Formats: sequence, C-alpha cells, structure tokens
Amino acid sequence: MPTFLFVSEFAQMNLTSDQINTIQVNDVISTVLKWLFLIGFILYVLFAVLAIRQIEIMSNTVVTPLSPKIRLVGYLNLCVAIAGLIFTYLYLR
Amino acid sequence: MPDIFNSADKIEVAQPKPTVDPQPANTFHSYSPLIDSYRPTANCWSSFAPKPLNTAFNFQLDGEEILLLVRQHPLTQMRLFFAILILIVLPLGIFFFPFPDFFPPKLHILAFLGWFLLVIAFGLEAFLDWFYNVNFVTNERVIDIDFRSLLFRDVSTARLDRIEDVTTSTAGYLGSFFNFGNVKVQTAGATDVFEFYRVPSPNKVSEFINELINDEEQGDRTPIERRGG
Repeated sequence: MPTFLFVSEFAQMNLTSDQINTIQVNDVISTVLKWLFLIGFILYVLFAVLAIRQIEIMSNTVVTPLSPKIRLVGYLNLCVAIAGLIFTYLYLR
Repeated sequence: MPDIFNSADKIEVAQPKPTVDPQPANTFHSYSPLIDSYRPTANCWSSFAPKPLNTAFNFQLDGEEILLLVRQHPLTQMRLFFAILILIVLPLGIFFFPFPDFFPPKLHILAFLGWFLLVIAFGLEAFLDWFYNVNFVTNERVIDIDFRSLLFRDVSTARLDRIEDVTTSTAGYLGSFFNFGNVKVQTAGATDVFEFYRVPSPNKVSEFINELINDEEQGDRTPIERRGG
C-alpha cells in the first residue's frame, strides 16, 4: 500500500499518534514473523533432505528387513515438509 | 608398534555397499551347545536378537555370521516416548495460555503446523538413533556401531581372539527390575574398551561372547577356517 494512502487511512480513523505507532509496530512484527515462518519451513525441508541422506547411510551400514520402510518414512517426511512449505508460501502470499 | 595394541579398530564414514548378502534363512552353522540353543530371530524390532535373519552390515566378511544383535532396551526409550507424547498434547495448552496480542491470528495455524513438524523430526531422529545404534557379535568379531550425528558414524570392532575380559553391570532400579544393563568388552590394547549400553539380558550377552571366545580358543584357526569356509 502506498504510504500516503496508509497515512490517510489512519487520518480518517481519527487515531492518536500512540495508536498509529502501535499499529505500525504490529505490522512490522507480523512481517518479520511471516518471514521467520517461511525460513523455518525452508530449513525443515533441508532437514528432511539430510534425514533421507542419514537414513541411506544407516541403512547401507546396517541392513535389516525394515530398511525399505524406514526409507519410505524418510521420503514421506520430505513430502510433508515440501507440502508444508508450499502451503506456508501460498497462505502468506 | 606390536600388533597387540591394535586390537580395536576405529573406522570413520566410507560407504561401501554390503559385501555379504543378509542371512536369508536358517543357514547358521553349528557352534557350541549354548549358542546353538538360540533359535534364529525374524523380528527386526527385537533388542536382543540371536541369529537375526535377513540382517547384515556393510563391512561384513565372507563367511562371517551375525550371531547376536543387541540394541538398547526399549524401556530406556520411555523417557523420549513420554517427551514426544507431551510435545504432541502441549498445543492444547493454548486454551489456558493464548497467543500474545502481537502474534497475528493468521499465523496461528502455521505455528501449530511448524510445531507438529518439529515433533515429527524429533521422533524420527529418536527412532533412528535407537534402531540403528546396534552392537553385533559375529563368529569373528564384536562390533559397536554408533551414529553420532546426522551424517557421521563411528564403528569399533574387536576380534574375538583379542578380547580379554567381558564384564556386565546393571544400573538403576529399572535396569534391575527389567534386566537390562551395560556390557563392557575389554580388549588387549591398553585403552580399548567398548561398551554395549543398556542392552537387555547383559548376562546372556556376556555368556554368549565368552562362549564364542572359548570356541575360538579351542583351536588356533578361526571359526571360518574350522568350518572349512
């Protein structure tokens, strides 16, 4: 929103300068939190990729009948992480 | 340096594929009566698995048979299990402690989503840590596999003929009540000790290793050579 419209909206609302400051601070906090969430979900996707690599190393070192299922869990975790990231991006856009 | 000081080998990373196929069926050779008395285990969740079927490790030698697989007793994971349960129900606390005013209502759903993803990550790591940190007793060696972090593993091995002493200890009320504890394997080297932590039936593990050592000491040849392998 252009600054002059933003300011004029506040002017029409007959707000005190303290109230305007509070609204502006909340707006900044909201923006920062949105970015933090997005970065958090990106980091989780990176973790999920690392977890798959970790499962690969573990499964190659110790071979058990359960290894394919554990690999599947790793890939499901990555899918959930990517879905979470896409949802976050679309939700916050 | 005399060979005696090199009894336990530390190996870092390296990812060769398993050279030996997992033991597919009941094809184990005959050992002493005590070891033969254990039936092969098909349950891959077991913490005390004599002769585990379809199990292998990537540096297994030709003719080397896994005779015992042990990992931490499931009860030792109870603390983590309850921690995860608490983390799952913790968001219900929002009814008593609502989000602060500055936290935009639009982000509430993302906060919950992020929280549950973190719980999943914590649970997955706890499970992997328990499941893959195992100890093997084979007809040739005793092996301790530790995954220390996301991508690093630490493997200690000691040949049976280098093992000097095997001691067991149970610690705490839970360990005494549910029969789990530590097994310490002392090898010929001055500082080469490795420990199986909080494994089920430590006395049985100790007996098992001692029996294999006796079997080994009966002849100069290795068990594989004795079997004509």
